[in-house]
Amino acid sequence: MASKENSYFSDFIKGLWKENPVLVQFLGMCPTLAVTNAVVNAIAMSAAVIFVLVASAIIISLIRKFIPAQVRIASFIVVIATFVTMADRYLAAFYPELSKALGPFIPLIVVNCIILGRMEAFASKNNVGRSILDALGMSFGFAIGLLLMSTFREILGNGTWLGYEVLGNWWDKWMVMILPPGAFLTLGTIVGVSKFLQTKFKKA
Amino acid sequence: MEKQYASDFKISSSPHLRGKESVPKIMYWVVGILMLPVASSIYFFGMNAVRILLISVIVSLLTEYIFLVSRKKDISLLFDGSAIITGILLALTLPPGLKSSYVVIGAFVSIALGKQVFGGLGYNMFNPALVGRAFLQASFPVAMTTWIPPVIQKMVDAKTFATPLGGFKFSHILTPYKNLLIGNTGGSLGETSAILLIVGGIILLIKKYIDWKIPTGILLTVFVLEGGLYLINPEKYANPLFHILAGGLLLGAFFMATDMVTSPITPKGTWIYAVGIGVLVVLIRVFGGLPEGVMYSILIMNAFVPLLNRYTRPKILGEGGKK
Amino acid sequence: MKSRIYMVFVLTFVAVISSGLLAYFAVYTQPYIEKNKKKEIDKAIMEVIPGVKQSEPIVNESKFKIFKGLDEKGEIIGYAVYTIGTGFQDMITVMFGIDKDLKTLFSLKVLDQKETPGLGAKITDDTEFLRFWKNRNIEEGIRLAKHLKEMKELKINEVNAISGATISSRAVVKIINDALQKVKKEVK
Repeated sequence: MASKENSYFSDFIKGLWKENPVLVQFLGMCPTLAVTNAVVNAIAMSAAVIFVLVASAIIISLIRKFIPAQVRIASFIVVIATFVTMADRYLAAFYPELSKALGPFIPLIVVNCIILGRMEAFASKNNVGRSILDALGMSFGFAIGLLLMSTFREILGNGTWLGYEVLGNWWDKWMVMILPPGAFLTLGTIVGVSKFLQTKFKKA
Repeated sequence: MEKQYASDFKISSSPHLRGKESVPKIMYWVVGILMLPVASSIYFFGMNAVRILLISVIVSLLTEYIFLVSRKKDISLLFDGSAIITGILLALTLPPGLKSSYVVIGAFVSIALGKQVFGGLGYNMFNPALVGRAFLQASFPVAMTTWIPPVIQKMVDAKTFATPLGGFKFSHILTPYKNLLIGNTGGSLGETSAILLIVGGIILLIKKYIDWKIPTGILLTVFVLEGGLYLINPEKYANPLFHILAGGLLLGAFFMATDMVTSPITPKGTWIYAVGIGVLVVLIRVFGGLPEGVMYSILIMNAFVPLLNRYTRPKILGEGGKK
Repeated sequence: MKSRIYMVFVLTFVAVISSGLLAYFAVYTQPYIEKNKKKEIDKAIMEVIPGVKQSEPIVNESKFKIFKGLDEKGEIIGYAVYTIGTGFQDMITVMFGIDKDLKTLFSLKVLDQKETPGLGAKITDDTEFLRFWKNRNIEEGIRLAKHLKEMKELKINEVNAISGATISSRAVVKIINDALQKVKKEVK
């Protein structure tokens, strides 16, 4: 955030790459590892996180001046839990298949560090506009991480992308990629490559 | 790590090799001894064995080469023998009918993920060949548990064939000891011939290239635990001798658990490591869902090696006892 | 003292607003969620009893349900059984249809499972597993065939195991046989 003029822009853009919650801050690892075995799960998870993060950021930054410091975390959690429960019920009511596939990981967004972290670090100290931008940037960053992971895992592990055949019948599915070990292998590889790219760009 | 076996003065981390032995010399002795199970695999499984062994060794060397070049290391490290051993060991743990493309993936993963990402020989935590095998097992579970009968066993008309351990676990059939000893039975390429593995292991022990505590600890633990179960209920549990001879236990105990890089360096730690592998093998074989568990047992205990080295460090002279 | 009261007030206020919102949202989504669950079970009943037009629950426990399957005239043509049992690593939920004399199993459907993908998860696969479950005799329970056979070679009470996933196949057989025992007690 160099100057005031571009600070709005940087509020948004920092979450996408420089401070990407998945690839740089290593926040929200639980859903990142658990639900990225299929692209559709990653999209649903990202959508839920975008909704919860943005909605909570709006509310928290609106009421930030009324909340005493001693009970701020408790209040944040109540607000976050409200939106998470709404997202969970919504999925269960209108997308039962997705809700089944995501299992307990939607309710677990409550304890996702990305959300509480952004509330504490940003939304509780900034105005609504900037908080929304920050929340959007961070949640899109999270979505990018999840999409990258799930793209690799679904293509290698199932030969498909978002359910569409990509590699065809000759491909022997690498089952390991849609199993838990595949999540760790993919995360390690993606973080390694992104670190490599970051240092390369810095040098140039 | 430039030339690992250079004679120049340099300070390196343990284990400190002393005497005339050098890494390549030991490695090539091991390669030579590995020719025993290699010979049995070719005798019993024919061209399939040759195919898998060749692909595995070539891809291992190729992967090692790519990594050495891209990490700007000394190319002569390619022939320190370790990549060849990994290639042979991986091939020996694979089912004889495995598709060539799977062997390529396995060998690549062994060297790339099992060894080079950690920094090369001496820095890897897990036995590279077993990392490759575990990856294949998780990726292609059906292909990795489909066994074809030895080529000389003509009487079998079925396309698939049970391993001695699988046969016992799922249908309660005991394979005759003669077949287990000679190797005329189903299983991974190099694990079937118990007698050749024992001979190879004894040569390694005599040459002191492996720590005698590791095979002794593993085999004794398995024998005692299985023996106990057998005494309790001979109907349900197999004879302990059967468990020693069947499956990959001998191959694992002599050639894989003893890998210098991935086994502990302290005597006490080595005993704990060996007994731990034995206990895990029995747990997986008897109570687990899979018929065989040598691979996972060794990998799990590999993970404990840094801890074992740390907590079983012998006292430095003058450090004093507990008060 | 004042700040403490203020603290309590703020937290209570936030909690009350949130619970109000949630209560409204719960009431709003409840019928949809129930409908989804019912639809899933109804759909499964239609699939496991051929020609069924409507169904009525006889036993309705959380882990074990029996439904009477009726044709258009309201006559009973079979039972659909919903049961949950232990698989290789987690619970397996299945639904199967049997005729009204408890002699034949029409077909089997796996509703939910967390077996190993590519191996045990093939219990949901028709060509490798479920097709062998069509029209089995269940008077003495179901058994796994000793080795893989063609459909017509299988005995009337045998099914094929999935190669490489004997444990999951066995688990399903056990779940079915256990459920059949219970059904025989409940339906006389």
